[in-house]
Amino acid sequence: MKKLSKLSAKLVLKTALFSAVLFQLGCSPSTNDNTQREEGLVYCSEGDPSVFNPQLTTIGTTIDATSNQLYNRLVEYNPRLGKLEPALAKSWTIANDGRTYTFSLRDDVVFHQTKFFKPSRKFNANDVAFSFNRIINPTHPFHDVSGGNYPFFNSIDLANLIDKIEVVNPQTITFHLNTRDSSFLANLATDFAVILSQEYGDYLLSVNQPQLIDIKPVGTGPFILESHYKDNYIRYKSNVHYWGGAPQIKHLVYDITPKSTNRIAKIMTGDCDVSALPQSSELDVIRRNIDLELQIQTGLNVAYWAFNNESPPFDRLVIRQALAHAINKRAIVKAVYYGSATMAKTVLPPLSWAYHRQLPLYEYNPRKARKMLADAGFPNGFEMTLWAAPAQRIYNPNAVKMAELIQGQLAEIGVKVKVISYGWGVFINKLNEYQYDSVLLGWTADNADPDNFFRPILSCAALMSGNNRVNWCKPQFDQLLNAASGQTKQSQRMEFYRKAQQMLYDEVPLVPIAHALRFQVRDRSVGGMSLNPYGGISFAKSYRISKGNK
Amino acid sequence: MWFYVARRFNLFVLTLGILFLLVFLMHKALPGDPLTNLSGITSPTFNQLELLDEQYQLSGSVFNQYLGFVTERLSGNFGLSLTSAQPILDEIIQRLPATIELCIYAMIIALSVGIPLGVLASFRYKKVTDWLIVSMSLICYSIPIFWLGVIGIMFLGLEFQLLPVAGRLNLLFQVEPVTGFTLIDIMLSDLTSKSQAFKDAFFHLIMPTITLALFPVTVVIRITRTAMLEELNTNHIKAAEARGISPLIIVLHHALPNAMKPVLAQVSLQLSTLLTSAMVTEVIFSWPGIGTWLMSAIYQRDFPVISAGILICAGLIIIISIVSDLIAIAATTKRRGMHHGKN
Repeated sequence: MKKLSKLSAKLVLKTALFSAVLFQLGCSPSTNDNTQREEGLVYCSEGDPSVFNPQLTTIGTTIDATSNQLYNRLVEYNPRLGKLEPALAKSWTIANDGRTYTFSLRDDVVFHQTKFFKPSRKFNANDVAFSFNRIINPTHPFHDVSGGNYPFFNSIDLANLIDKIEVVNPQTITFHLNTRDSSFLANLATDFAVILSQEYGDYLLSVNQPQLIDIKPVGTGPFILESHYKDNYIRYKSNVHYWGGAPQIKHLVYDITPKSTNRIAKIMTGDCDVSALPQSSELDVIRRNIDLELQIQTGLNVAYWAFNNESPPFDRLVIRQALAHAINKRAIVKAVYYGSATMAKTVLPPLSWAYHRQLPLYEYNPRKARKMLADAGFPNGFEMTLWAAPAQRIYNPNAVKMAELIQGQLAEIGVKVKVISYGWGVFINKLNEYQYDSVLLGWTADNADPDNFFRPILSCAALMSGNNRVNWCKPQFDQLLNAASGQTKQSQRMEFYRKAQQMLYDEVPLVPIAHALRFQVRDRSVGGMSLNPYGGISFAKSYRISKGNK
Repeated sequence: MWFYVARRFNLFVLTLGILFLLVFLMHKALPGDPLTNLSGITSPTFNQLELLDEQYQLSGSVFNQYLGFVTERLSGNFGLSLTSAQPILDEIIQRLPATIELCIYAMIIALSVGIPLGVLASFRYKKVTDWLIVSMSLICYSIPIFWLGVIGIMFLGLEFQLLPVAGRLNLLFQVEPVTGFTLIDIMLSDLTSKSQAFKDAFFHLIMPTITLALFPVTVVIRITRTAMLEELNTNHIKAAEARGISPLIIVLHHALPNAMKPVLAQVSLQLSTLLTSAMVTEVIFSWPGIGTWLMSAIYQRDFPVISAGILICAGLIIIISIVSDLIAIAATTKRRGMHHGKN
């Protein structure tokens, strides 16, 4: 047996050695300076884009993955200076009648060259006409491709606004409008108003695969789509011919990570360099980590509780008012946003120049609410459904939790709430059937124009395009909006927007809950990432700070 | 032997039939339109409706519907996913290799760590080493893997930042999924820095594999130890010792091969547990395999995916257990004449 014990000693030694080697390997972290990583950048995004064309959607996740990476617009909004800047259009003039906009276009812009398409000409006015005619002209060969719904443009009623689009010469294009619209340029600067390639469209028609225009995108933006593995990742490579100068990042990868804790874990361990939407509860962890920087931006957004105004008893004003009195917004801001939000009086955030400051906050008063319900014939309350998506949005970090809080608060006035929840994609589809009593949703501004907060979600046109989840269409309200956008002076427009806010306050088609702060986390080795208060993220100017300078 | 194979095959077909029946009945009981739940097509056109009616024989009797269901599933038509509108079979093929990869590495670790430790414990029977190994294995046996995974993420990942905690590979390495096995795909890729990619993939593997392997390791240790103790006490080992044959030869040539048979038989029984644990591990470490896929399907009430997942996972376990049974039979001379698979 002596030999046996010798053997066992050897075995012990070997196991120890083996684990020592493993430990050694484990000690050198996986972040290494190698070119593959230095040249690339990984962004942890919160979801999969539904399509690669921002014209077709208003969902922030899709915008983040497409708008500023793959495409450009005619004009762009500079949030720092607060004014519009040239992009694909070098300059523009507005005729005295306020209805004719003439853009002179850049002549040095090329479209992406991809595996399946090689552009033979540069960008010109035909591409602009192609992109907008697709939206406004129902007979356009691409109008009905991918469903034919352009939610943002339908909500601002672009088809009726634009009389015609005239290609003057390859470098000049003119938009003739039917009415004056002071928010027209701002709308062209939104993330949705991207320019597609007409040549690519013609090519796809010739091979009889028009649907590919939204799946295998060709744009003018700083990055070219390489591959997309659904629910896993999106790969982009830099567009070396980009007119604004080739981006310094050679490879851009979107790591699709729906769970917020996973995104934080990935950015802490170096699998990601920039991460979207950290949860308020995780902010302290991020602040404590010296390698990470937390960027904060007052958000132009609103989370609201929308009633289905057509479905009884929510068609009665007194019921909506009673429910609005039963909501404790302060508690919600504390529990759901961990204080990183402000209570909302109206849909417009206080940042906006059109904000109605004199508007009072709806008072939290359950006793009053209960009395109002009793007077309205519901002394014992009633049952209702409250829909909340389990997805995290900029304006609402945890809609399901918010729904549960509301459930508890409404129970105090005798209203029994059933919370209904689906995955984001199914959720949006089911909403279109208007089977809900109420739903928790929100809105993030696409540009600085206040019109953007009312028209896309509350106008009658938005009801048609399926963005008006309140199911509320008041011609007087639309008139106010039209009157406001018909003016050019800010002070005059302000007057109408105040009236619109007052009307929302009196009618309570929805209960605005909070304006969330916007957060983004980045590794300190990444520079050139600014957090835009409007719309999507952009990587065009981001770069890596080399280790020495850090 | 052939009679035994035929019996096993019979059992296989019968079990699959019952499995399909249960899933089929589940479809009937699910909320929503049964046709949508079967095919994953939410609003079929008239032509599609006709085709689906023919495929699933919806106008026929329940038995015909069952036959239609089995035929469609066996021919690889699992319908479409409700959330992604992609054919479910494609999604399975994309994700299954990741799960299998994880299971294989975990099994390799389980065997390569478990067997030596089990042998060691049997050498040092009733000594400190033995007690140490046995008690450690009992402790590890009792640790729930979701707890272990989260503790690993907390300390190794977030606190000391030694290891990545999610995914299979840093996405900056452009590796095309050809086979679905990361390491093989890296080998096939045209990367310039393959060694870096291998290293990165290896680091991503460490935590999930160890988390998944821990439970089977303890099982292997205990079985090996028991089998070796039994084997070391047999007369032919004692005789070999008496003849002065070196202990290494005795263990490697005489005791271990005999002790291996019950170990392998037990290991094959552990495969279903392994697959279940793999799903939990995948969810913890965001490993893009069948587990995370099924879990998100459950959250999103994607019934076609859930039923396909049940069929695939249960089918896989049935096939593996029957194949390992056959291998065990073929390897055991004593049992070759058996008709009923009993000892």
